[in-house]
Amino acid sequence: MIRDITIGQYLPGKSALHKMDPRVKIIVTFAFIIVIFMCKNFWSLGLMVLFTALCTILAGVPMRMMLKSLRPVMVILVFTGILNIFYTSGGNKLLEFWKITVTDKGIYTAVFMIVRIVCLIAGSSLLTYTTTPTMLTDAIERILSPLKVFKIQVHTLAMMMTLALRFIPTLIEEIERIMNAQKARGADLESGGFIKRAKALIPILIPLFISAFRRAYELAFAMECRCYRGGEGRTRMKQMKVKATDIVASAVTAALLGAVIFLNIYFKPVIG
Amino acid sequence: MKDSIIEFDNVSFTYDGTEEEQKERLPAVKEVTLSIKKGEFVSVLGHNGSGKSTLAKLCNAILIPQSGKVTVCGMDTADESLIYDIREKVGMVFQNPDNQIVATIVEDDVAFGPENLGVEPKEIRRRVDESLKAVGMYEFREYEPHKLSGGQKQRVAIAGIIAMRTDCIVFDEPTAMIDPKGRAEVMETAKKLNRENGITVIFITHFMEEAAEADRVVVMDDGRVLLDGTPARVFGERETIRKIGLEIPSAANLADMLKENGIELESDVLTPSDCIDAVYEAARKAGVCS
Amino acid sequence: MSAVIEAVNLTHLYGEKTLFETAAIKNIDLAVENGEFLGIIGHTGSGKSTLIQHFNGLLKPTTGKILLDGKDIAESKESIRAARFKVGLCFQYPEYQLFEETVYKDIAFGPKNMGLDDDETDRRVRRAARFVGLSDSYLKKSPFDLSGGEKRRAAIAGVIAMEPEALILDEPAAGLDPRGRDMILSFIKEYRQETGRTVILVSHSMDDIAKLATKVLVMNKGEVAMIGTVDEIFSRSEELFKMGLNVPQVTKIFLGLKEKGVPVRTDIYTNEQGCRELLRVFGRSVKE
Repeated sequence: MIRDITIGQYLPGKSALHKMDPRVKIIVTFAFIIVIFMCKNFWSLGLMVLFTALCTILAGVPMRMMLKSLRPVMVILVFTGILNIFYTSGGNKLLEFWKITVTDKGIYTAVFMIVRIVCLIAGSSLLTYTTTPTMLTDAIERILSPLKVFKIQVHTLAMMMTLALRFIPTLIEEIERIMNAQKARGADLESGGFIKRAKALIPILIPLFISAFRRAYELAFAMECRCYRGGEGRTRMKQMKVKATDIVASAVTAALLGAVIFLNIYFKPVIG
Repeated sequence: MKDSIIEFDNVSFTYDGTEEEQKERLPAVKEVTLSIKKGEFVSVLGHNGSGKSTLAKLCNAILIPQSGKVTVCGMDTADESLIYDIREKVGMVFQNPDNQIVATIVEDDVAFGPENLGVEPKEIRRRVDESLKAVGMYEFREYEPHKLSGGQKQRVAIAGIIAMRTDCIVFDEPTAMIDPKGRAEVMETAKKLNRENGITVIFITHFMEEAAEADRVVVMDDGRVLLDGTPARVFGERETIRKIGLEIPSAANLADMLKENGIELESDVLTPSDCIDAVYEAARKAGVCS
Repeated sequence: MSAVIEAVNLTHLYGEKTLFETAAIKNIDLAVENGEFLGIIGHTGSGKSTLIQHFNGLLKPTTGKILLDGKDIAESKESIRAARFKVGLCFQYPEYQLFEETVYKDIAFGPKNMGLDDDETDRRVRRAARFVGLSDSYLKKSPFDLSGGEKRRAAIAGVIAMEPEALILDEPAAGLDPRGRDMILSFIKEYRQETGRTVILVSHSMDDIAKLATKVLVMNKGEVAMIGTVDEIFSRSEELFKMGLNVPQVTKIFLGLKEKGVPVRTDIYTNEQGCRELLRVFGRSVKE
């Protein structure tokens, strides 16, 4: 049923990764991405793959789930592979037909690029698998809070994100309800050309907008009743504290950075 | 009066003609004088358009009267500097359970009010746990609100209000959109908070059975207070109640029919349990049962 | 009498082939006779909504089938579409489906989708509006300028205007004040008397069902728990109460009296019956 939908892809758990300070987690994830892009050969990239796999096991995320998060980028992976195989110059010729030559260097580059993207997606998926959407928005608000100096309404932005997350399931349910009601009156949403279909959306969009505005209006009332007056003077129930795990995680990331730089220098680069 | 929590002194309110839609939804309140005592459970009855929702919104400075005065714990709602002190005292639970839950997790939503008030984090945690236990939703604290039933959502909304340590909760038709099971849950919760925590309850409804369970019933019609008194007294005004198109609680109706046929019940009957007790007494006296 | 709607061994699973597979309804066999007024009661989640959405082909059965006038509705794309018009389904809070500029146009949405010409559409719109008690002056108004109760009635008219063989109303009075509720229930009664067509009313209020229905279906945990005449169903009031259903207040009173040892019957569902029963127990006669 539709009420079973979960926003984001949080997997409840009690692992060290789950318990990390979400702010540190976000920053470490960013660092991780940068380090991946610094990898120049299979040795350094291999190290990162090993690290990602280790974290996945540590977080208790099943391999099946990880593969699922790769599905949307499948097309990109295939494209990257093909482009790199065919358009990498240099190296030993392995195959030649028509205007296309396949070299060993091309294959190396293709594999390298694919592994890099997989690693990237897996690493950032780990962040969303182990952090609730609320914690993420909270952490983003806190990380960006220095921007207040530039008169950027960080709190308002974060509040908007939270409310959007809160109301996505509600609105999906609503769309389903309205669609069913109009279908029951014989609305035909499935056949016809583009213009006919676009027209068929009117009986759904108008009630949806009216309802969304009504919800917004009522929600604003309810928030005012609960003394909401923006971020000023607000406290938070859930405090974020940097704990030992977070320091260890930061240290490991720093060490990885060092290792990658070392391996990049020591071994021959595959790319660039 | 010293022991009153909300005072309406000759209050009138009309909406601007410009906002047609609003005017349709919330009709005027005319010359209302009303005093709600601390610890009371007051239900407000009336038709759509009788002004009961407007009355509710005047209680916590969402609306400010154009003439007359509303005072909450001695604070004038027209005084803008007191607006948040007033809302801290008087909380509101609305009709649509979905449109008052702010956060994506139950406990975060309950924390919303205290967070706005700038309460210490540890204290918030304590209040959130306490409030969730008081409404029987503690086991659901890590749930996403959209996975709860209507009655459960309303209980979360109630927890969010009591976590602000309010003295009074105004319920604006909290049971109109939910099923009978959820309705019973909300009513039970409101009664429990009133009884055990001494919270003053103003309960707006159009279910007569719910109104009959209050200490006091206020009937609104065309923006004015038409009847005000104990349920027995208010529902005793059978003619007036019927005239404005409200109903007499079913149990009271049965008692009337019995009376017409010569079976006098000794006590006033409003709820099914009243009726059971009274008929049982009568049956015992008549020697029909032991 | 012949059956308008028949459910044959109907089962519907949600989240099929996933871990969360749950049966919303299972093994339902049911026949709704022509001209009948069927009341459906049951908890939220008892499968009522799932069941009625099969009647007009909005949901496809996982196994089993639905027959309309003896024909399987899943036969073709056309037969599913025809089912929408044969069985008019009005959902809960139908006012949220209003979208046109005028009440007239909104009520005409269904008939237009049926491909009817302007004259026929006009006739149906006016007839449907009359059923729900909206006078001609309302037809030119924007539906969004109406009051809550009027919006509800306009939306129901939009389904009635399709002139379905069977009209299904899911909680048509939910959230309305007593005056609005009475109005809705009384026009449903009039509609049925005037057209003689099948009406199915889904409601949490057993009082309303007791007043209107000729037959009652009780759903529990996705299955048919009971089906029978109003008298038959309420003679099993103790079972209904145990199912956690909201029996009429007067029934509650008689169940309570019996528990206290007063020798009363418990198959009571109106105050008139209750009064008569107590007079019998007290050994009095009814005053004329």
